Amino acid sequence: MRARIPWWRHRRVLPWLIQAAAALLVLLVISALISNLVVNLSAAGLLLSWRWLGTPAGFDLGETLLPYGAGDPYWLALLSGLLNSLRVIAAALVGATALGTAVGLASFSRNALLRSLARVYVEVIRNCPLLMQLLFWYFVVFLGLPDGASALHLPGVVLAKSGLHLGPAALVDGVWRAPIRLSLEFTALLWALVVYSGAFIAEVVRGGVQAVPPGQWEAARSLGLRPRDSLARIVLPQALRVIVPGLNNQYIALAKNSSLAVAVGYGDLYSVAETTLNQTGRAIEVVLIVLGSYLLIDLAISALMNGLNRLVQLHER
Amino acid sequence: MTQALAADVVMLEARGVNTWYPNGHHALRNVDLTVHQGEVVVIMGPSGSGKSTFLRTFNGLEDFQTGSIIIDGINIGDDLRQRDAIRREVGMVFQQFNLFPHLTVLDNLTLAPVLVRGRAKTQVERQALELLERVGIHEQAHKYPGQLSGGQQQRVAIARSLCMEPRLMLFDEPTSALDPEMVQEVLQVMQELAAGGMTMVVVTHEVRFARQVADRVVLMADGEVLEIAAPEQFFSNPQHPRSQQFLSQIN
Repeated sequence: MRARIPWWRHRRVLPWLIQAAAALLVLLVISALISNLVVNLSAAGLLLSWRWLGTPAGFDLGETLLPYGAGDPYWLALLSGLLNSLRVIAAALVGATALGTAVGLASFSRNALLRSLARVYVEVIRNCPLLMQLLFWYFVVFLGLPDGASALHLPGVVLAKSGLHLGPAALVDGVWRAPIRLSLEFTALLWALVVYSGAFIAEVVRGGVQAVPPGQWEAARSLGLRPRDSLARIVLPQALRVIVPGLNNQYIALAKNSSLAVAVGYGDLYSVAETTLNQTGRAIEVVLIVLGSYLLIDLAISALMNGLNRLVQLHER
Repeated sequence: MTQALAADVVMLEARGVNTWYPNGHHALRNVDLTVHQGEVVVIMGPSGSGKSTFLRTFNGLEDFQTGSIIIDGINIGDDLRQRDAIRREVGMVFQQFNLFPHLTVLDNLTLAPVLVRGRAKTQVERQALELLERVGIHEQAHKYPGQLSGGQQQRVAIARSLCMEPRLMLFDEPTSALDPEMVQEVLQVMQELAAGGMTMVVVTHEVRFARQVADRVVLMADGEVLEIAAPEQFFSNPQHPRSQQFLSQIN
């Protein structure tokens, strides 16, 4: 005869009861928040509405990928802001990865000067607030750039107060003309994001390379592989398993950090949303749009990086 | 047999080698060693005697401060090109195998000949499969190292070195990390290699291997070479007191 087990001692019943209680609590909190929202909104005479999205925004944006003017509706303004965000995020991801990898590898250089430079860069940059750095780059460095004939120019690249000009550039009546012109605000934001995230990525890369056992270097060198080949064919492929998850964090952080664009007046999603909110007073709708957009961007990055992670972890046994 | 082959072609000549570690430890004290072509030299000694350090100077994995090492006519100096040349000519087998875990067994073998010697991949693959057959693991050619036993991994590591067609093979305690039942299969491969005329320097504690395969046994202790003798003489009638002490400890 089996004795009846009381529910608070039952191996299977107890966890189930705890789960059910927790779920009930979560539902209660959510419904309280929603009813609070509805009560407050109706008390203020407001209801969630999306009709304002179709009305003219009335403000202009410095630069857009889509044709957009002040007479266009809010939804187009917000979409233009989103595209501006995506543009700076994509460029910064590429730049920060390249810079971070180079600096991370430089910390293993046999050249002491290069090694110290890498350390100093990482420690200075990652220990100062990004907002301060962005303001410094924009107001002190980029706004202080010369214009016209005295602009900095290399073949195919001209950096002037009027922005970054790419492709064959020519000075026409004191104004630079080139196939591609990136605004000074975009360039400063991109630069600040690359320099800032690059420092963190350098540490991720350094940790990944360090995690590869020294015997792998020794075996590669013993077989006559040059340092470059040892790194590219033996060490980095193994380091990637450690690097990719850390990189995912840095990429997500970079995407969110791009919202600091508002500080230098670059028309990204957050800065457009702020103007929209001020003009329409549609706080909850606008915040929902902004939160949802960043959430989607970061989930997309995460999904890509998790895919990459599976790819680099795949084999070995 | 190898005595006759050894003739007088010198494969490795180390003279007055001194090594200090960065912490000031004097790891190698004025060591000399000559290895002739086709000869098998076994280095024995207590741990910390500098035998692995000495072996690792032969392909530039370890630096030395004074003295000279000439391998197959190439002087190990500061010339990077000569160091690369020596690493192409000298194969190394490690205690921990150090196979590349992200590459298949076959790719472990073909990577260096293709990258370093610039040989055609299909040709190297054919040679690699022959080598794997010689060490008895050609069925595993497309597996990853992590799927093999320790003994199999070490045999792959030997085949990987051989695929570079080295003139000299170095073995750094090749059986010390193996389970006892796998030691023999690796020693067997090494014995066949020696019989084929390969010049080998082996750091090991395997007395039976030293007795059967070595042409000469070197005893090192405290960073010095104390005794060099033929194995029958070394094991039955060691001259140096440290040799006697060492042999009494391992028997």
